[in-house]
Amino acid sequence: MTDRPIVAGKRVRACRFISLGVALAAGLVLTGWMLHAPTLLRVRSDLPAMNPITALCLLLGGLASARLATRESSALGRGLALAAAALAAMGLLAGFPAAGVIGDRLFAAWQARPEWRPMPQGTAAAMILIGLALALMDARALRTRTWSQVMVVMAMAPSLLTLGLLSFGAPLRSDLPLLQPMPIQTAVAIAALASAVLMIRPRGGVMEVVWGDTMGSATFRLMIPVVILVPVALGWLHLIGIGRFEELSQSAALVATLTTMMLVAGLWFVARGLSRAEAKRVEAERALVESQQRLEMVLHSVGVGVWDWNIEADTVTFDDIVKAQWHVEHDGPVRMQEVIAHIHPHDRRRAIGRVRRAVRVGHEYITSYRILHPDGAVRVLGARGYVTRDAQDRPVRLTGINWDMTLQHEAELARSHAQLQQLELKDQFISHVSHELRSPLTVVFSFLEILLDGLAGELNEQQREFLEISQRNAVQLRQMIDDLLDVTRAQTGKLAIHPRRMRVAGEIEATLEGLRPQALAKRLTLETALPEALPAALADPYRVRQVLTNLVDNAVKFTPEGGSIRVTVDEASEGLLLSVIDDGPGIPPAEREDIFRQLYQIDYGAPTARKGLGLGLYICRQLVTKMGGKIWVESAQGQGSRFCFTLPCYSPAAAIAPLLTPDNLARRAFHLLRITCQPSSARSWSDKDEAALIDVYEVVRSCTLPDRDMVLPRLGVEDDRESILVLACGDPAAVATLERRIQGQLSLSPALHSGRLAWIIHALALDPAIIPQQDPARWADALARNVETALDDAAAWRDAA
Amino acid sequence: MNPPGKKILVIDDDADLIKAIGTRLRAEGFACVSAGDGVQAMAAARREKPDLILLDLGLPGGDGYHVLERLKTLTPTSSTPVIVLSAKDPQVHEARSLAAGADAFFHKPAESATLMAAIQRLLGEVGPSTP
Repeated sequence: MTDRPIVAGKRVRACRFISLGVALAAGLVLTGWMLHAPTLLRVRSDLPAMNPITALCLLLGGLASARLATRESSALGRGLALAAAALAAMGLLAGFPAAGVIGDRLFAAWQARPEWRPMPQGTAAAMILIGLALALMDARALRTRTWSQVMVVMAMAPSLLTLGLLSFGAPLRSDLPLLQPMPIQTAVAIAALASAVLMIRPRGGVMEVVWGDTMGSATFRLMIPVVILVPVALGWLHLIGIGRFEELSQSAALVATLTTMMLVAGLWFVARGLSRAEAKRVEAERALVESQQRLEMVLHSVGVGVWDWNIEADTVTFDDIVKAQWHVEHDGPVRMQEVIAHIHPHDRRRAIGRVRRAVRVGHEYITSYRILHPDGAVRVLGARGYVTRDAQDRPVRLTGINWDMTLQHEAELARSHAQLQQLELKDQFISHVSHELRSPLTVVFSFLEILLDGLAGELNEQQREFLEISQRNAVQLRQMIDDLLDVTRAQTGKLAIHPRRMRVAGEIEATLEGLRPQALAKRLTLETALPEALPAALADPYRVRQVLTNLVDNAVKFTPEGGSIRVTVDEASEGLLLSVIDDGPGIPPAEREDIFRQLYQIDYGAPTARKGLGLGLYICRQLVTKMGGKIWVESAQGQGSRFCFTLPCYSPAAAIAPLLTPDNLARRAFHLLRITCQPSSARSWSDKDEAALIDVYEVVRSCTLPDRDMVLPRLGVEDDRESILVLACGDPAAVATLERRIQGQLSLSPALHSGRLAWIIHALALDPAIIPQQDPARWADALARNVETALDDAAAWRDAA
Repeated sequence: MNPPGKKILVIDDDADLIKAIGTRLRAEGFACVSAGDGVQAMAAARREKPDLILLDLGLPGGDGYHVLERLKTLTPTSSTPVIVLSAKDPQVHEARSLAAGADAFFHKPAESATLMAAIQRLLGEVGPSTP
């Protein structure tokens, strides 16, 4: 046990003051007794004097209390307290006439001194209890503290009872069997000492109620003097002869005193109930505040701000972080409209859309947008919101968080930029290398052709065979260089695709025609199964031929001599399904996906098959995917392979579907513009015209407004002419503006070799007869039919021209 | 089989290729002159007044496009068909050279059959031009 001093508070000082006061008074009484000065022992000459043993007990108790009040634990204090208790016990025993032989002997001397009257039982019991309570006092153990407090309260009872009886005017010389009258000064001193002891360590234990910070405790403290001190004061007044009270019967006074004490006890219970309830509430509030502080701390440290939108009142409140993030200057709630004004114009529509959808149907949204600060700085914020709905499922509040992801965003941009730059460098490098490789290859190629064509003299059989082998390998080398270029383009997103309406049957025939010599050399049969009436596809004919060539070339390579290869076309749900079927060795199941990866080569052990970079199928997949199809292989080992790919069908209805937004449909004003291009002089369509037409198409596309106008996919050249169709949404004036814009851009465009292509722009009326008046859902079909009609019109116009 | 005496100017910095193309063209019955750079090309074009020009884009000391432009703007050759024969990326240079006035584009190495067919077609389009 340490003897550490306790920091002296107001209560400790009061306790010491009272304890020392009691000790001083007791000391005075003792001094008076020793000096035979009886006036010091009496209040009034007719009242009994304080027993000197009692005085000694009080002196010891007072000193012990004063000592213990200032120390966490004190051996001296405990010793003094125990001495007081022992003395009081002896005083108590001395009072019993039948204490037995030992008692008689022990207390003979005591009883011989008339002024050493035995202590009254009440006084003795009180002093024993106070002494023990002080000895038990421990700063740390709540249980002993509770017990010591209970003992002190019990010790107070006889003195309070005495004071009470006096107060209610009962005669001091009592006939009560158990209660010898206690001198009034003893009663006051014990009450004072007991109060002081209760003040020593009030925290915890039963006295918590008295000293607590709660309302219940405060009320209790307020009531105590009223309930106790008023009768005590009245008693004193009576004693010193000022009060004039009727003589009360002793029993009535006892009842009144006990009632007062029970009132105090009742008050204590009520106060305890109140303080416990209040303590719980205070504890809950404190926990709430703490958890809020913790949350705020976390949010602050990760830079997450919180905002709250009261939807009905349209007020947005936010914390300091959000304020800084959004650069909102003034305090207090603002309207949602003002908040939205801070969002970057490009992100505004999307952000509003997200919020609207969450409020309308959802519960949550997550998005990100840029914030434009007044100084021009742009911050990227992540946002997450939760919708609270009432019992009727109406949205009431939107609560959300914002976090700054500018740095993250910038890092991502830089990374993708660096990546793109790297790819760009690779692209440039490969483009350069392929150019440099091609020049010498061209020379080799040309001379091989010259030799094989016999321009340098007749060849014998062996010379011809060797030269043919050289040529075949030169062709392969050229293919590898082409593949290399395409792969790089696929990675940089530069693989150019110009989709248009096309017939796949013609492309298949042409492709097979080109590959027939190689098939013949291996005695393979090349067959096709092409249905009569196939819908047109929407694809780039050049790229379709590239894919077909790759697949058939592979089939020729891997099919053993005398086998057969079949190319078929079917209509499927995704459009057209093209298949190249061979009876080669097949592909193991594990490799069916891998073969479409870069640089993947199946090892069949057949030396002839191992030529190529392993890029062909990878490029095929890139091309088919970019044209909106899928490519895969079906195969069973030893039973050949079936390579399939799909191409979307040309469908005006599908093409214009994105334009049929509710907004556009509500306008119900669609117009068709047709730009017909043909060579300006009477000659057949050439590559140069094709290149020019691609330019025209791009120029027209650049003139249209996204969401409002749409350039339909190209129809393909027929009879040396092609029409580009634009579906425009808007009133006639807007369409006239679009027409002027296209006309102007086409004549200005430096990319168009002036005078090569002639173009005419026509505004075509939509046929009102097939536009449904009521059912917007059928607009897509109706417009598509109109587009088909326009196509027929174009044909008619051609015929007329 | 070919109109005799039609003269073709081959502009390329690769002497081996000029030799190869020359052999092929002469075998087809054309007269063939050649130039190794832009300056020579312009001089030859003025001097020889070719019926058709084969042009490589990657010429030393100058851009092939520059030569193409001058060929197409200067009077003696402005109506002479020009076929660009280049090893450069066709995805970029095909459209660009056609826009600059070329009549056809071939990516090296080209099959001589298709090249000859294009030459025949272009000479037929222009019609016989006797010097």
